[in-house]
Amino acid sequence: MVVDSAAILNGLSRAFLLFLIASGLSLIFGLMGVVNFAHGAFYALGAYLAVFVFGFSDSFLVALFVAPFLVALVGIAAEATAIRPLYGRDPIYQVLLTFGVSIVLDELIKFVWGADPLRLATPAAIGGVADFGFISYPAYRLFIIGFGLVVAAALWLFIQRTRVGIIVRAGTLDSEMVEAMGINVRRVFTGMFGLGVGLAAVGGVVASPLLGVYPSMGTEILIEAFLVVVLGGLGSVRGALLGALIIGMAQGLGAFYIDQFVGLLLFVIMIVVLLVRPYGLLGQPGFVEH
Amino acid sequence: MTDRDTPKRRSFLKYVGTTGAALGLAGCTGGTGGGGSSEAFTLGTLAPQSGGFSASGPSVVQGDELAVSQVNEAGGVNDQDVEMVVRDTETDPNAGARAARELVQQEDVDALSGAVSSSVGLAVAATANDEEVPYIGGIGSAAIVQGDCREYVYTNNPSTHMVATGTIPYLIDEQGTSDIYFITADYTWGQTIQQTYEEIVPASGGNMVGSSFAPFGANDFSSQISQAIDSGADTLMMTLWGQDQVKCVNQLIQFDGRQEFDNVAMAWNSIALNRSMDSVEGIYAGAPYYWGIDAEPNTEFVSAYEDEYDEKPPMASGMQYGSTTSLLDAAQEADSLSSDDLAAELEGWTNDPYYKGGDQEFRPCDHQNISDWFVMQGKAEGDMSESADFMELIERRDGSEVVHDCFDACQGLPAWS
Amino acid sequence: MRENVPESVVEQRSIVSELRSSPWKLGVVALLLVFPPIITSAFADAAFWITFAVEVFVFGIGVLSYDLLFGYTGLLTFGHALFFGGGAYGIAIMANVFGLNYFEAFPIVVVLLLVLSLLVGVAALQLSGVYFAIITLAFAQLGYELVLQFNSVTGGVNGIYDISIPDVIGFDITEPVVTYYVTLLAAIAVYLVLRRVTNSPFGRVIQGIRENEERIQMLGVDPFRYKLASFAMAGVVGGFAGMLYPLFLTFVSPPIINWTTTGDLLMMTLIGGFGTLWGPLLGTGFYIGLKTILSGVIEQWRLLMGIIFVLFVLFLPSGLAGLLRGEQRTTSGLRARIQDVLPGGPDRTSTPDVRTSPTSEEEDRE
Repeated sequence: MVVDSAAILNGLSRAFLLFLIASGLSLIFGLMGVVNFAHGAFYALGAYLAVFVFGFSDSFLVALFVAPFLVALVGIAAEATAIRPLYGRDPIYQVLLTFGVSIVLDELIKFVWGADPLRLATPAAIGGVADFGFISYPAYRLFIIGFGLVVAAALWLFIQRTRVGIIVRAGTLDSEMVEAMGINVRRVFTGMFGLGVGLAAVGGVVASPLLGVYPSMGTEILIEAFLVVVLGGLGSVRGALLGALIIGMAQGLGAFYIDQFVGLLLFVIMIVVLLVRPYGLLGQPGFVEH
Repeated sequence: MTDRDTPKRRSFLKYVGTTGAALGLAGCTGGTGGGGSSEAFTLGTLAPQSGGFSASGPSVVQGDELAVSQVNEAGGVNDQDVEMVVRDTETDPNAGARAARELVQQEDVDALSGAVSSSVGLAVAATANDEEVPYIGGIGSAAIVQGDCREYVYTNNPSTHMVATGTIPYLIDEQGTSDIYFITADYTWGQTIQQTYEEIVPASGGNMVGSSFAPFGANDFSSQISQAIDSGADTLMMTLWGQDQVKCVNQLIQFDGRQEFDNVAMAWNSIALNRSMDSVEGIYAGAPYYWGIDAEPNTEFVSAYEDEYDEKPPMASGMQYGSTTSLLDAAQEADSLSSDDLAAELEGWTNDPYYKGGDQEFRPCDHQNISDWFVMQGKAEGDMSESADFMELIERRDGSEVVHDCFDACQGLPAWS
Repeated sequence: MRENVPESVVEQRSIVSELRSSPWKLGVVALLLVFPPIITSAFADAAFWITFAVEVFVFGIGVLSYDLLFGYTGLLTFGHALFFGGGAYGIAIMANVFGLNYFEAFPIVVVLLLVLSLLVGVAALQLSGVYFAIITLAFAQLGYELVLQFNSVTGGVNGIYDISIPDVIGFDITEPVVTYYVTLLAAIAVYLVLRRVTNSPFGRVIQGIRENEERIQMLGVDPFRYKLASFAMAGVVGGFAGMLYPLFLTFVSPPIINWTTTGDLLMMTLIGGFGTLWGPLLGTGFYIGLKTILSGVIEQWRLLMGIIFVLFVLFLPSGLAGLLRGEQRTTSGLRARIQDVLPGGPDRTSTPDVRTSPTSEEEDRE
């Protein structure tokens, strides 16, 4: 029984980490139709900036809030200069552009911080082991689960209940109409891109004590993020959560029971889902579901 | 002549290289002038300066550089200063092969050294042998002397057999290990070591109670760690490489895993990895080199390295220094610039003492470097006297004790004896 | 894609008239034919440059196949490495596991590539646009995982070494100069064949599909069959390029089948100028040349390459080919682009649903 509980908790902590990263990807596509190939690079940038901020503040919490904010600024700058001009063109160009941005960002990271792996220490308060009697489990992973739930709830509230969220939802359905109502849709899109990559950066900060901070972390996570988002449905944040849960649990449980073929299995799942339900389990073409 | 301006010198050499070595500008660094193929011995160093292992790039270059500058201070090779040219392997076998070709065809190097990734090492070895230029493989090159062995290729890296045999018998004999759980890298290097474990563990009187594998580039070791804890083993043996080893250790600490076992060990360790680990306290490790080795040649090497580069030498630097010093000494002894003569000289070459103490040999039957192995244990942070003082040396094992038998190695060798 | 209407849509030429009409292309070919003896007599390190040229030719064939799929048919794929690497691995595995030599394995691998590309194509072409790109990525990564997983067959992380290639009529075709001519001729042959294809009615249909699939359908054409044919052709030709790899490298290893290799092909195609066949070849030379020259000099050449790529996507989407042919940007010039970014917004609506129409025609042909 102990094994199973650990497997389940492993799966959940993986799932919420993936959700943090993939939710932003899903959001950006749902709202702007942009498949952000640079998402992994922003995730990595978040981790590196967290180390940087930690160097000044000596506080994980401060890094957790400041680094994603900085990354969001970078994202906004990128969107305004490089992505916005491409809205009028075939969406393929946006893919090409974000692909190029991912290379540039990855190389910039290496240029600034070098190639040595860095370290973001597990915060002492949640660095130990939580003892539940029948299982001892790392407190930090429980934190990931809890924090992920909080973020999911906050996102849901934001999109469902706030004015900006409603504008955002309307904007994808009919942006011309929204603009005709006097709302600057472009600014909303820019802001949303910032939010999306900021979420990726949060994922990066949270992942760092677990996985370390190193240059190829962005490209490694990108494929997994795509897996999640494809499964759940590009454009659906709820879908991202569902997809993350499925992938995370598959990895957590799969690693226990089938060990070596987990990687293969995940890609097969991705292909099957794309063929059977290309919009994913919860996605629908054209608008964001919550 | 020691050139203090090493970074500038390096890039000057690179620039010269790409605009045509035929102009003979290589002579500007102090060797002879004129002609495409200068009389001076030229070393080609391959380092991962970009790509996945780029963190090790500077270490490789610095190890070779120090060896070259010390040899030059002592008079060089054939009465001339040794020259050194560096190329980036990009941690990619194709780029590595191309870089090796560049070094041989454009820079006219007399020998090649370096490479960290095993696949890059294999690619460079194939190229070096095709071009008939001697190559001593660096850190990841365990595989290059298995299977089809090549007359021009040597390895400075401990074989997988040596890695497997280095630490486990010590733990069983001296630390009371009996039931072991293994977490091993799920690719060729790890799998080969695991096979060796299956032989030597029972032979040494231990039990393998379970194992799980981590795929290439794994991120999350929680399931392997959970299973390990659950197995009831008294010892956990991790056989992982690079960043994977760091992640596993950090996650193990988050599981409070060190408390669950009497002994926790890493098959392969370098201070470069230790820096990213949350703690190394109490963890055993094996390695072919550690800066804290208490032997006179090593103490001299470490202080020279520290003077030049302001840090303690990581494993990659030590190993490069050792292999390149041997290479240059052999070149001096061969008294000729012919590749064949150098390759022949290396076969059976010995050092006594070796830079890390003990002795060393490039065994003729498979071109494997045989030198001492070290078992260490990680210190508590409070016990570290300086920033790189991660490990305490516990045991030095003679290379001949841990090396594999020759008969399951190469057919075509010895090539020169 | 809507903005660029490359010349090949409106032309139809035979091979001979094609060559005759572009004397500089003929000149380039002639130069390439005499390159080895010239460079051998001039430079001591000639062998290096000859091998460099071989790499450009082999990658060039891969890029030509990519242009067929992306440039002409308008299908952005992230999975081309599956075929490119698949060809290389196919040959290597045949040698490693079945003991076949290079020439015996060749036709078998071609057939396998055709089967593979048809299977993958049928699956992947159920989707379009961005989803198509993603599923091709998934297939390629699946291939990569398979290669890593079954390492007794594929050599795993290390790859397969020492692929033996027997002599042909007494020639050692791995000798750099011989390889040079073999690959050069192969590249020229592939170019001519693909030129014929793109100039044929088939070629016009696939370009029509790229421009407006619905309209093509209304003409009574089944786009799926054409897309599949294009996909299969690209897969086989791309695989053919991969099969030439062992000629100059004698080993294969996983990076060749990783999606980042497709990324390289994509960059070369775009920078060179997609939809022209010769443009991407230029792009290949540019990319590999820059990489070779720069990587010895600066460590951040990849950063430079990324920035160049981004600039091309933004300002020069028709690539070097477009630049050489004097094509203007068809929707908005540099000034309009800058106006976009400044406060106050651009002087046109720019919400994502609005498409601007192409405003200029073709300019010079060569």
